[in-house]
Amino acid sequence: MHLTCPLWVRRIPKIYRNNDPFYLRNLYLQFSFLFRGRSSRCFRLAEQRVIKAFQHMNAMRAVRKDRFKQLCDERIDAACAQHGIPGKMLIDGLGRMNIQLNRKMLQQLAIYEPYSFKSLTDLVKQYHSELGIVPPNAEPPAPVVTRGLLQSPIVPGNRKYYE
Amino acid sequence: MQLANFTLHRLLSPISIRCTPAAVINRTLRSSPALLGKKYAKYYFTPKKIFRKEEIYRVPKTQLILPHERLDPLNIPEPSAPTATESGLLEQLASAVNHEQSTSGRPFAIVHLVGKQYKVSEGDLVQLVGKSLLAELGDELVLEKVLALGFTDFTLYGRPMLSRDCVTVRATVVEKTLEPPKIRFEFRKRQNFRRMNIHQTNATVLRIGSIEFNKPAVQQAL
Repeated sequence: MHLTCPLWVRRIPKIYRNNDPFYLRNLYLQFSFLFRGRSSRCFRLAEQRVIKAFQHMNAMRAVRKDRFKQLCDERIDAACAQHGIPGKMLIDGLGRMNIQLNRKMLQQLAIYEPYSFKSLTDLVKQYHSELGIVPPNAEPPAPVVTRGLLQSPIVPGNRKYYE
Repeated sequence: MQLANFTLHRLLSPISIRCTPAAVINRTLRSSPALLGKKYAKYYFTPKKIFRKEEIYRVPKTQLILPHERLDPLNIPEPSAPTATESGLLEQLASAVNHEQSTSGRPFAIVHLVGKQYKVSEGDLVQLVGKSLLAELGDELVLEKVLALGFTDFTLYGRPMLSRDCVTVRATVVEKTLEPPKIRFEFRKRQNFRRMNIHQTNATVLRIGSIEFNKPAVQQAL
């Protein structure tokens, strides 16, 4: 069978494609689609830019988690400031009361469930006022019925109050 | 190095490759769209779909907000102040629990599932990443680790969890698939070191059915 030169050259079985330069270069050129200028068309430039892009991708993996955590902290802080309490106080207070809601959930509540979030801030204010700590520039907490249970540890004896 | 056969625009969205906006291309080619083939026209004339930043700043919509449920952010009505007496508050809560009807409003639950927490209500989809459960398609599950429950007039918080008598959250397994492929490329300069790994993790999708609330158990606790 007579083929034109390009087709004859490209007619390579699959097992040898890993060593064929066309396929090795096409690998990087696929990732360089929509890059600026000749970096999207020429292999010698695309290789450099694609490798750098992958390095950015690897570096962002750890940074992404930190940024999301910072974002959650910022949102919780802003929502708590509307109730006169610092954001760190809320997270610390909930931890001491053994309410195990994480930051992702707290920022969701702050955005979508404002009344539920207010009840959490009231709990934290009551907890701290029972210990004698008053957050600055805070309104007095709404009346919270605790029956002395916020401070008491959770032991099998008083399990009935928690279930 | 072998490359799986997948489309490029799926790769570009979750990873931060530096792409220039197509403004320059658009300016020169907008006058003559016929020059572009149909294949690439959509990439040049719809840049917003591809050149978008990472979506960590997007808050996921885990719950549909119906029009009558939306709050006006400037005019949020303040809740009425509760009475100062202890018994008064407990009575209010008990009456709220009594009058709670599942038809009014959408209850939400915060559920601990596979090491993560999800805020969940009826009809939500939850994707569990990296895990293939032993449950098969169509199996019904009961999510027992409920950290919080919310209704229109009151919320319940567990320390750390609510008891199983109070609430049952039902879910069904809808889908068991693979995620889109993820790339890990290691490069060390001047050392002739390049490694490319492409991996696909399992993903299961659950559809949350109903959140059932057991009044007598809660009133006993009160």
